[in-house]
Amino acid sequence: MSEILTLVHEGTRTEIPAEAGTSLLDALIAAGENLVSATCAGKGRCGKCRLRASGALSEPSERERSLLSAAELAGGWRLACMTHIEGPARIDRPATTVATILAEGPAIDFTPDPPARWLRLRLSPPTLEEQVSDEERMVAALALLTPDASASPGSAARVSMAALAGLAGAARHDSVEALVRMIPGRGTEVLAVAAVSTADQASRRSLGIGVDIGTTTVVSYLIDLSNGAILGTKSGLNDQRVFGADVIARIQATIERETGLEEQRLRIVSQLTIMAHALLAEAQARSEELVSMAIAGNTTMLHLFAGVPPAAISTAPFPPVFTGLHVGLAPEFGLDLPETSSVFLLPGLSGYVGADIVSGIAALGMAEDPRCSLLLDIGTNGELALGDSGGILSCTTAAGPAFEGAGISMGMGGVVGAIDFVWIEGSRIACSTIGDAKAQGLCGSGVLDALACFIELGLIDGSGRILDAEEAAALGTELASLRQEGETEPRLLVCEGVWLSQGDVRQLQLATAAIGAGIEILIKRSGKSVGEVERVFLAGGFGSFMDVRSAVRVGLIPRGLEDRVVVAGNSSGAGAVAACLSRARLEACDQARARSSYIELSSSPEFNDLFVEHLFFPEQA
Amino acid sequence: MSTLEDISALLQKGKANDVKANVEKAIAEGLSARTILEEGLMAGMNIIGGKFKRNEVYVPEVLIAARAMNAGLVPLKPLLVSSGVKATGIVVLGTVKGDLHDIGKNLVKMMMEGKGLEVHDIGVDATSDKFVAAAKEFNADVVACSALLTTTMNEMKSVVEALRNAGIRDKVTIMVGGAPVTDTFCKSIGADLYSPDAASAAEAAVAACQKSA
Ligand code: B1M
Repeated sequence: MSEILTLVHEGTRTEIPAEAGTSLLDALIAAGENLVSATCAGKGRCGKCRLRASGALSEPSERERSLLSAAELAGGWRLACMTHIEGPARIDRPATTVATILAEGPAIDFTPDPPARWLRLRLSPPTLEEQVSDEERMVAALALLTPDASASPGSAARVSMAALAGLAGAARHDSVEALVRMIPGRGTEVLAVAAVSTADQASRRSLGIGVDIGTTTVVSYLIDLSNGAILGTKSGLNDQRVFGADVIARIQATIERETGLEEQRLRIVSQLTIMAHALLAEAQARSEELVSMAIAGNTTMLHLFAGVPPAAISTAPFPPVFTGLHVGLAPEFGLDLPETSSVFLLPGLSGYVGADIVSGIAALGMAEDPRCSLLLDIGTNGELALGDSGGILSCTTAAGPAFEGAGISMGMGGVVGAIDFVWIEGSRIACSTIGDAKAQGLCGSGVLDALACFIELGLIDGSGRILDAEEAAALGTELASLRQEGETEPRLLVCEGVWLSQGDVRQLQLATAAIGAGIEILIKRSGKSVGEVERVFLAGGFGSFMDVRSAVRVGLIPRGLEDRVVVAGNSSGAGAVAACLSRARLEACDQARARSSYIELSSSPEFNDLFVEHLFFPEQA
Repeated sequence: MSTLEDISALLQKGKANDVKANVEKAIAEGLSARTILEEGLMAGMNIIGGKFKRNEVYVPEVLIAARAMNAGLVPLKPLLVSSGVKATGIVVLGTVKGDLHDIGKNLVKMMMEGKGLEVHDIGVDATSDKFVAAAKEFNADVVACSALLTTTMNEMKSVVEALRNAGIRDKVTIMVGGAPVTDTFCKSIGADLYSPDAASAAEAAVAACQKSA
């Protein structure tokens, strides 16, 4: 019998017919929709085709129960390939909002209340009797509109020179449009004034851009500040990458090359400018509609953007020049954007726990939530934060690039031909590649899976040693055939031509131990136990793609937390978006910073012992 | 198995108490302190060092083996002193200024001690002056620097210069190592020896001391 499957997306509904008994995946394929990607070709193995569905659907299968967490199932998440249509059903396509950048973050009140925006002000008419300047009439009108911002005495809005020039022409009408900036604790400023748009002109919108400058990737989100909708997204590799892959290399370039700082500043400034213009053009926006740009990123990235020498961050005791919130205008940063666009450099905590983490903490509401949560951003440097409304502890732990596929003999980035998932089928190893292409190497998630599978199969022992030929033979010929004698050391085959070597396992042990020990120190220092951690937010690319069960198997995430994992996506970018959108969220960044403290692991006496303990892989569950 | 073989085997397994008991047993059997050290404890550390070099064992195994060696040295030390057994050489070892990584440096220390060298560890974040002062104080044969950051490895050059300025450059062998360090870098800063891992570093230090002796 034919049933109706409804796709709901940002208020629009699409109905597609589907036969009862078919899977959601097949129904979507038949309708030409590419909502999800089915990495394992719909075999219920990879868990990549997850989506949110409701209505008359089959009960979650055992496979789904093992691939989705209890929280996800409760939230209506299913695997498209394993879920069968039994009657009318619907699939909710997430709208692009702060919440989707955050993938699945908690509900936070994002009622738009932007710190910078265009406001229409009604001016009292000038009279002969009462001699009042245009400026005073405008400030009075503004005070009426924003009582909270100008409540305290002496806090009348400041009006910039540029705004006065604009006021001269505009004030002859009874209303003006004023670009107003209200930053908590910093008073109210009028940055520009323009005549009210004429009838045949669309009225002036207020748009903002939230930016996450990652060492590897840069992302910009264009936001309609009246309703929080994301109008567009641009992302690309950081143009500074020619100066090196990691933060230390970028800093070193500022030390060793006379123009190293300026060259890197120019690259990121022009990259952000180009992204902004592209976003504005696609949204058919007038440039003066762009009122703000909030920027999150690690401390070194913000120094490079601001042209402030980051040299000291690279050696102990790693003092950054600044970590506080900085508010300026586009030209001050060399951005080729409207002179009256505000720039918010979001606050960080230390040389290695930057605005990216702090804005993530703010976006996830960690410092306002009584539940204890753990934020993990695993990259070359692992940044970790743990806590609740009582306070947040954070640290950074150098993991090395192994989980980005670097420094691993067959490692590669997440491009076509990279093995992205590896799993066990019976006593065999199976894997999928990006683009279904012939396997050429392993990307981060594939490396992690491969390691977990080999440990699970017993080919790698708890100390990280690949079994010798004799020991492997005892596991049966099939498994033993995976072990090869490489040129200098043994290795384990993931598939024809792709392997993990003994040296690779050692690199992965270092990375896992650094993160594992960091997490344990945070939990111990905050006087908590693993069981008290109620949510684990995984931020960043690797965190979004890795298989949580593999992460637990190798000891990257403590056992017992697998069901509490929430993939948090780009929480840094979400924090930047939220800061453009809401004064309260911008303030939350400052509060998250004030409520967080930083633990320096290099001087933590317990680190080395814990690190060595975590070099061992955990025993079987 | 002889007691010496037992000592070596137990040390490789990291059984500290058993190593100590067997050293005491060997002393009671009348074996010389030097024989117990060289053919028991050092032999065991040697095997661990080789396995570590080949990646067959890793950091934890070396640490527990070194702990077992130290346990075995407790009853042996007084006898080594009284019988006049001298260290193979004297090493001043530290992690350079601005760098706080010490896990690799600690392994180098253990491997060197496992080869009978006397090691003075001046810790992490050690200035070039500290290296010079320690080299003078202990009359060192070898000055060994570890660095893990590409930004701090240049500090090794400062150590070479400081030793030269202090007039003891030619009295010591300068060794360098740590993940970002290479042989080319070693030569470019005028240091003497580069070793890729802790076991090779210990071997190279022994060779250098024997040459200068
Ligand atoms: C004298 O002759 C010799 C001869 C041989 C010598 C020798 C001397 N010294 C060593 N050897 C040789 O023998 C040893 C055994 O064979 C070997 O020693 P290794 O030290 O190489 O090997 C050890 C046995 C095991 N290896 C290690 O112990 C290092 C592992 C990694 C993960 C690492 C760790 C554990 C730590 N770290 Co750091 N850390 C990383 C490392 C990344 C990686 N995957 O390698 C590295 C080195 N760290 C890095 C960074 C950036 C940092 N770390 C920092 C801090 C830390 C921790 C505190 C978290 C911790 C150190 C704990 C401690 N007390 O040592 C910071 C700096 C601290 C400072 N000023 O020193 C911080 C700046 C960042 C931060 N997050 O805070 C990176 C350097 C990048 C670069 N371009 O230089 C890094 C490569 C990771 C990365 N991000 O890619 C050989 O090199």
